[in-house]
Formats: sequence, structure tokens, C-alpha cells
Amino acid sequence: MPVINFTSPARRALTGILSAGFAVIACCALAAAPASAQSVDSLTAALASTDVLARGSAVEALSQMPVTAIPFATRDALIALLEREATGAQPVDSVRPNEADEAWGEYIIGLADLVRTLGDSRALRGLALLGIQTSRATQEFVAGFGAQALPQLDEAWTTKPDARPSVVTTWALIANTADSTTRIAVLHRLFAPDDTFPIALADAAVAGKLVVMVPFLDSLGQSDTVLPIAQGAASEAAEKLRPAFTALSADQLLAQYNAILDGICLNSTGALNGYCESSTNGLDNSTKHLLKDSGSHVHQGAADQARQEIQTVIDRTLNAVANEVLTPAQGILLVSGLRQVIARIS
Amino acid sequence: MAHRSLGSHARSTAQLLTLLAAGSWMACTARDLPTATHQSPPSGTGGASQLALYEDCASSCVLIASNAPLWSAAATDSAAVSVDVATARIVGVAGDSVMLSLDADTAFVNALPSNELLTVTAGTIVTSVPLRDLVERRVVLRLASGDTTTVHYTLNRELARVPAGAVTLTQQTSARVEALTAPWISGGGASAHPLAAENAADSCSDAVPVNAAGTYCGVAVAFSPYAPADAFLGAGAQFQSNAGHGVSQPITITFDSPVHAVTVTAYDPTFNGNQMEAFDTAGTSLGVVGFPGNGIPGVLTTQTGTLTSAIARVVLTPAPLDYVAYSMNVTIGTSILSVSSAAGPNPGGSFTILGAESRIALQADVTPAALEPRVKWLVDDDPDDLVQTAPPANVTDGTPGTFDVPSAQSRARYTVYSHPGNLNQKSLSLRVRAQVTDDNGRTVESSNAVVVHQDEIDTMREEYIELHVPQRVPARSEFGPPDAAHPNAADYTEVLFNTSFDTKFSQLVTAWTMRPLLGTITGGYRNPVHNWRHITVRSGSGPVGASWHMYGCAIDMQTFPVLNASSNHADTLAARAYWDRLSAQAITLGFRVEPRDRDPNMPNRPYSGVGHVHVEIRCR
Repeated sequence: MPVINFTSPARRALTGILSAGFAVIACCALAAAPASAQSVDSLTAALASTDVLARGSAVEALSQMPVTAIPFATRDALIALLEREATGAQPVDSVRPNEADEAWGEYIIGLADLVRTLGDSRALRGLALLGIQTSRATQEFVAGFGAQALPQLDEAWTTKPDARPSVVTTWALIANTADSTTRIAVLHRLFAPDDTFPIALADAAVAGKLVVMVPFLDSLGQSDTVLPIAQGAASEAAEKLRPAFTALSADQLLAQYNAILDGICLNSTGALNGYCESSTNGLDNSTKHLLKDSGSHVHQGAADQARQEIQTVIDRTLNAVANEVLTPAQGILLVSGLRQVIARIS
Repeated sequence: MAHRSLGSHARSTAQLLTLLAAGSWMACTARDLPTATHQSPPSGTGGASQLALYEDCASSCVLIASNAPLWSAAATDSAAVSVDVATARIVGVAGDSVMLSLDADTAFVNALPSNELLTVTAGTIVTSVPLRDLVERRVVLRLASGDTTTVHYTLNRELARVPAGAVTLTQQTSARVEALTAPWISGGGASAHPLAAENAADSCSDAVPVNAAGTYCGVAVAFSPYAPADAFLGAGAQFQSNAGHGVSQPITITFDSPVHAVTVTAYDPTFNGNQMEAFDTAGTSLGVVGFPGNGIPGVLTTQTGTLTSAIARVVLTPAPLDYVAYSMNVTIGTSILSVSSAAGPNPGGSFTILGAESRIALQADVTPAALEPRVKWLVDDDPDDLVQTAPPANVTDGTPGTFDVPSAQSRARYTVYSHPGNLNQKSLSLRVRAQVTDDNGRTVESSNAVVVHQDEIDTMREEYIELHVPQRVPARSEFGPPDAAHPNAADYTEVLFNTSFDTKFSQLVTAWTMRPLLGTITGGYRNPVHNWRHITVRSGSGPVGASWHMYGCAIDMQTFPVLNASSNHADTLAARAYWDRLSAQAITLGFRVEPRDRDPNMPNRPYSGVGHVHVEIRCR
């Protein structure tokens, strides 16, 4: 791999020479002078322009102001503008851009960033629909709303297919910090059966510190059913998380797989509900119950019983995958992980 | 000449003072040299180079504006020598006429004798007209061909008494006056203007005749004592120490600023002991040159001597009991006015229209230094480039001088020329010249022209200013030559760097193991005009956006496989996966990325969102 040194001695030397040579003009080099100074009112008015360049310039100019100096009316206008952009309600520009035009995309970056800094919950929809595609800071901001953000993220998932990788990452961020109920709701969404984004899942695993996904990522990294680039992403993510994963005890791992199973089983119906909830022979031996019991037994030192219960869950899971009750991804997630748990039960 | 009584003129001291009263500020080049107001230069001894030269005065040119030349016409002791009035060079066609008219009150005209003639000489054609008859305009010459014709006007010396009162002699012609010498016009006649032509260029570096008190090329010259020469005029004598033909006295000639050389011709030095001695400003003698004379009274001889140094004063000392007249030529200096510096505050004298960066400092070299406050600056658009640079409305005159480059400059240059254009089409550039003016505001010297223009970096920075890029105007130190990590697809040879972005991007390059990321950069730095062209070129007054590409804080990277018209669904999925992973990697490192949402203005643009990954940071 080539070594790229962006702060090479040569460049530093050049900078030094330039600095020395230009010292004479230090008094007049307006290094940080804004190119134009417009009133807040005119900038706010420009937010309503049909010219994306005008809106973009206004957003940048407002971004240079302290947030506390931005009037409420301007904040309202910014939040509304982002939501219009996110929902397609903003009228299109009267001038068709060049093919190479990036103005809209770059303007959205700035708009989302500025709206985020307002810290206003009313911005949640616009940020969830559009802003989370642009930065980790915005993803974390939305994730900070926890369960409150889930409806907006669900809307993004439903209405914006291109936003799904960003939604996955944001879900993972919520999972990392939310209460158990919200975490289960998020895990439910993360491992929903209707779509898979292996690269997004790998990124989400790292972003949300979902270390129990390491066996799954290992499997993904070796799977020839995904693109090589996705294999690489999975393997890299697994390596990043492996130290933390290795450090977990068997009962810690089981607690997390129980949460994953709860997520997969949340609001389940039909065959999935049968996999999750059904008991046989009048015993309380549903899959969820068995996995929870195994955790107790590990904690109590009843290793053999715990292994037996986990193996039963593995068998049922394999069966459910075979019967297309679970997706292969869900199956791999649970089976590969639970096998690691068995290996760790001493 | 040995002392002999030649008789004195009827000229009184008061009359002489009247004649000597010239403009307080005189000319400095041959085109407007001051002229002796008491005495015409004798014909055949100096020619046009000794005469004041005025530019084309169109159809009406004043030749005489006072009765001063009539005093010479009344000098009967030199009756054989006519009085030079004026010389005109005219260009016309056959049939063009030249007319003269005398404007004076009746008493004045009546006092003129009928034998006081004005002679018009044009080649072989000689016409003499009683001066008094010119009170009614008279045709004195009609051109027989279309050649350039030199017309010479002289007065004979038949005047016994000089009438008092105002008088003006005017030439009118249907031909074009190409040049005019009117030595009796000092400070500008009614229709005389300085001529910027032939003799003007190096006049002050040449010897100029200095034969009376006045200011020559900015140097004030005083004579003490002084009287106009009244003998040997035909030989070229110009001044003497005292009126009449008595024993001469030493004459001290003082220059208020040192001159380079003084050449004096002594007319009729008879006895040994005539000399010129020069002194510097401290009074130290710089040398002596003698005019030993011929020792033979009554036999005219002329002797010339020159002293060269930084001469502040010369003393012309006659031999005892000798009568001597003189003429003098002085070399003032090599150049009296030049623009030595016209520079903005930035390196190389560059500038922008921004605040203190617009301040242009002006410096002229003026000799003598006393003229520095009289320097007037002319600033206009540089005619040699393709940019119409608005000149300043106000310039602080004098040297040093200053002006501010106007902030209102036309943005049209950014759209008129084809992109990317060149500096000749985009850099602001102004031409600066200096002039020295006299008390009447008349230009007496013009300098060379110096161009003050923006260098490449300030030309680039000017785009940020004039196009109102909302972030900021980058400092000059942020620019540098492109390299592998900063490929240049913009319009200049320099690009803008940002260390924060570079550091972060180097992390992305290291983290990205799919392929060498540097080779995939499709867009880096863009100057504002380039960015403007990259997006839609709308009206010239609109904003140009706020792209961080303009600050070296954004990069576009190609996704793979490269999609084109023959790409299939699998290719698109692969490109999307590449995009997903690179985007995720960049976001993890703290970059901001463009959303995958399609631009609502271009919902059908092919491969929108996955053709490249745009990453940026908000840099300061």
C-alpha cells in the first residue's frame, strides 16, 4: 500500500516559506473574513428561494453564526426547509443544473448539519429522512432520541430505499444506548427479514458496538453469497469487534443473544410466533424460554443443562431457517453465536 | 569687448521688470520651455530646439500675447537682426490659406509705424506686411501644394517706441497645424497647449537654454545681477550683468536644485580673466573654466566652457574692464519624473479589492525633490489586458501617493471568456502614470507607465470576494502547487490546501484497502468560477454556492465498477455496495458525505448518488 504523507516535510517547508514570505501582509490577509455579510432577515428570506444556490449560500452564512444568535423564525424556517427537502415538498429549481452539478447534495449536507446543531426535536423527521445520510454526528443526534426516533426512522426505511444503510446504522446506535425495551425494538428492526444490507450491518455492528454479531460477521466474511466488498466489510468489522467479543463471558453473551431473539420474536405471528413462543408437552419450553433458562443455568453452574438448552435452540433455529420461518441471516446470527456460547461454557 | 559707449536704450528699469515678469511656474521640457520674455532668440542660432513648442492649436494659434517682442523690435542697435516671432509647421492641401490678425486697441495700432513689418517666410516665399495692417485679418500665405510647410514669422527692428497696451497676434489657417513654436508665449497663450511630440521625450536630459530667471525642468534659476544682452545678439548673446555696454560685473546664477552640467558661451571676451566657477550646495568650488579672450578689442570672439557636477551655483566673472555677454545651456538631469513603484500590499505588489488589501502605494522619483507634492497620478485600466478594471475615483496625489482599488468590479469577465481562461482575462490590472503640473494645472512632465496587477493567487482569491462565496476568503498561505494527493482540475496552476482535511483524508486512504484511493479522485479543489461552471452557470449576479471543494476540504471519489450505458443490474448493485462501504468508512472517520437521495432537480440523472462518493469536512 502506498504511503501517503499529507503533512510531508516538503509541504511543511513550503508552508513555512510561504508564511515567512508573506509575513509582511499578515496585517491584511483576511484569513477568516466572511466573503459577504448579509442580514439574518435576508438570509432567512433566501431559505425560501427556488434557487438551490441561494438556499445553499444562506445556509452556509447562517452556519457561521453562533447557534444562539439564530432567531426562532430562522430556526423554524431551517427545520421546515429540511423537511421539505427530505419529503420532496421543496419546489424544484427553475434552472436545470448541469449533469455534474453537486450543489444540491452539498447544500443538503450543510443544511442537515446546521439543523442538527439547533438541537430541536421538531427537526427529527427531516434529519431521520435525509440528514442521517450525511454524517455520523447527525446519526448520533437522531439516535439520541431513542424510541422517539423510531417512527421517523421507520418512515425513512419505508419511503427511502437509498437511506436504509444509514437507518441501519442509526438503529445500531440506538441499540447501543437505549433501554432494554427500545433495544429489543431496534434489534427487531435490525434483523427484520425483508431486507439485508451486509455492508450496512457490518458498519452498524461497529457503530453500535454490537459485539455479539462477530460470529455472524465471520460467517458473512466467508460467504460467497455476498459481494467481495461486503465480505471485506464484514471481516473488517469482525476484527474490530473481536477483542470485545472475546472478553465476554458465556452468560454475558447469552444475555445479548436473548435480546436478539427477543428482537426477532417481537410482535411475531404465525410460524415465527410458533418458533418463538410455542411450548410442547405442556412444558414451558418455548425457544425464548429455553434460551433464557440456559442463561440461568450457566449462572448457576449447570453447564450440561445449559448446553443442552442452547443446542435445542440451535436445532430449532436451523429447522426454522430450513422452513423459511427465519431468514438465513437470522439463522446464522443465532446459530453461529450460540455455538460460540456453548464453547465458552465451562 | 572692451568698454565702449554704445548708448543706452530708452528702456527703463520698470519696463524691463514688466518684460521679465513670467509665469511663476514654467515649463520643464522643450515642448514648453520658458522663454526669455524680453528678447527673441535670434534666428539661425538656435532654431526650433530653442523655442517653445506647442502642440497643434487647431485653426487658431496665438503667436504674440503681449507687447514684449516689440521691445526687441525697438532695439535699434541690432537692427540687422530680425525678431523671431513664431514658427509653424502646417500640413494642408493646395489652396489652404494662412491668415494673421492683430488684436489691439486703436491707440496701440496707431502707434505702430508703417515700416514695422511682419515678414512671413515659407520656403522661398517671403511676404512682408505692415504689422499695423494686420488689425484687419489678412491672408499672408496660400499653399501651393499639399506638402508640409514651415512658416516663419519675424519682425524687423524699425520700432522707435513701444506702444503700451495689450496686443495679440493670432494665426488662423484652414490647414492643420502640426507644430508651433511661439517663444513669446509663456505659460500658455489663449489657444496654445503643450505638445506631446518629437522634442518632448528627453528634453530634460538634454541641455536646455537657460538665459533668464525662471524654472526649468523643475529647477528654479536665479540670476544676480541680470540684464538682457543688448549686443552680439546675432551671434547668440542672451544676457549680461548690467544694462548698456558698460563694464561687466560678476553674475551669480543659482539653481535651487543641483544641475548636472552648465555650459556658458562668452561673447567677446577680450581680456584675460573671464571665467566661470561652479559650486555645490555646500559652497565648495567644483571647478573653473576660463574664457581667455582674444586680446583684441573690437574683434568679436566667442568662447565656450562647460562644468559638470552637481552644480548649485555658478559665478560668471568678467575680466577687469571688460564687457562680456553670455548665453547658457544647462543639463538639468537624466530624468525628472518616473514611477518607481506602484504596488499593492501583497507579495509582488499584488492586491485584492478587500479592505486593506486594496490599498495601492505609489512612489515616483522626482527631480528636484521639491516637486514631489506636485505629482499628480493618473490611474486607468490596463489597456494591454482583456479585463476592464474599474479605476479609482480618488487618488492621493503627491509622492508617495495611494489609492484603493474600487470594490465594484465587473463580474462579467468570469462569464465572457471560455472556461478556464487565463490570467490576462481575469486578473485586475491598472495602469499608473504620474504627471507634474504647474500652478495652472498644466501638465509639464509625464512619467512612464507602470502596471499594478494581481498575481495568480490574488486572482484566485478575487473570485471568492467578487462571487461572494459565503464561507470566507482564503489566505494566500493556503495556496500551493498541486501534487498527487491534490490533483488540479481547476483553472489555475495553484490549488488550495487544508491540513485538517488532508490529515483526515490520509486516514481514509489508509483505511480503504479495496484499491489505492488516490487514483480514484475525480474531483478535488475547485476555484469558485470552476465550481460555478461545474454547477449551472446562471445569471452573472447569482450566488455560486458554498461548496467545500473551493477550500480543499472536499473530494469526489469514483465508485467501481464505473457505470455506463452498458452496465447491468449487477454492476449497479456492485457500485452501490462500493458506495455504501466507502461512504460508511468516511462517515466513521468523521467526514460528511453527500446523501444518496437523488437531486430533485435531476431525478432521472443516470447513476445519481452512486457514481461517486463526495466527502467533505467543514473546515475553517
